[in-house]
Amino acid sequence: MSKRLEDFIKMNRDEFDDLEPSGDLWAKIEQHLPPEGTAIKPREAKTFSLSFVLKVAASVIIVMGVGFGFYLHHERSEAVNFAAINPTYAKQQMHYASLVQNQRKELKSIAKSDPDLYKEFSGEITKMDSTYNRLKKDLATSPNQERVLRAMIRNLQIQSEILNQQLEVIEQINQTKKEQSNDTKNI
Amino acid sequence: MKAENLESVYIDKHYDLVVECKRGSKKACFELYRLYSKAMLNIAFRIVGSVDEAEDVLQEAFLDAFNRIKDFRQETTFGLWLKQIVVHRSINLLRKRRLELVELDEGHTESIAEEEVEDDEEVQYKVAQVKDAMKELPDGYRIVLSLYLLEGYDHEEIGEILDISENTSRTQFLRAKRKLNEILIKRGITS
Repeated sequence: MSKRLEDFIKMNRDEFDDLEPSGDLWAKIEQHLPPEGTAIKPREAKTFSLSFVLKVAASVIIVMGVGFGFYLHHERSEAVNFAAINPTYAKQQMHYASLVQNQRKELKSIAKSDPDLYKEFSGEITKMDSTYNRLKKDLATSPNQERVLRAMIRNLQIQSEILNQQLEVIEQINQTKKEQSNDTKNI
Repeated sequence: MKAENLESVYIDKHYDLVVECKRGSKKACFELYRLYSKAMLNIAFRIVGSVDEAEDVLQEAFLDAFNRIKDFRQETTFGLWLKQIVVHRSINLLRKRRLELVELDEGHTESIAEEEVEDDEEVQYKVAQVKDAMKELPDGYRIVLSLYLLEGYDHEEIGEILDISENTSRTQFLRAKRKLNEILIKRGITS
């Protein structure tokens, strides 16, 4: 008996597979698959729809924007990273830079009384400062960063000396003005 | 896997599709799903005995296969590999459901003579009826019968899958066949 049944089942093997998976099953599986990398698309999509082109264009713009942002950020952070070049120089640079900043502030406050003189003095410093900024820009790409940094520090030292002299001159002027007024009072 | 062994000698018809799927092409993965989902669903159903559970098994088995496809060295066909996953997952599901594999107990290994219990020479089988009758078989009977007759595993392989001896599988298969025939005859399937 059994042989016939056995043979019958084997003969009709394919008909035993009658169940069909439900339609949404693939969606459920796909949901859990890792997101696609680079594959498939290029072969079938020879023509691109407008929306596809726009999407690509938008993503290119975004990528460029982000890239540019990174570039700016990178440049800035690289210029600031003096300590990596030479820690001693970095300290000196910081010292003179803050010194110059304070002196400039002082000059500004004192020079209110004499705008013409201030203009002349600050013009000289601005020239020095533009040299300094050029050095700072070179620093990022320079093969000898230590030398550039040294030049930057030297520049700041000179700026500081000039500012010192300028401040002295202003002080002298102020003093003579005071003496003059005293003299007139005395007379 | 008698019949299957022949198949595995040949190169997988869908070898390239599997390669594509390995590279992460969802289209290729879907194509594999389309090719194999129906057969696998039916295999799972014959083991777990419920369409809903069979679909769960199918979903998990495909996910399992796709997640591990990078490690699949394609020494066998994707179909055979997937079938293995489906069968194992189905059996595990039954085990979790505390399948009483009483009928598969080693104590029942006395050989069963293939005597003609009833004369069925005149019986005209019909697929739908055989299928219905199979649903009435106890889990253990149904699994061995389907794995042997429909999935093409041999008793040694079934023994490994179900963690029973080859001889138990053999005995189990004979009992299942006899029981199936009884059910069919009881239902009055005559020519």
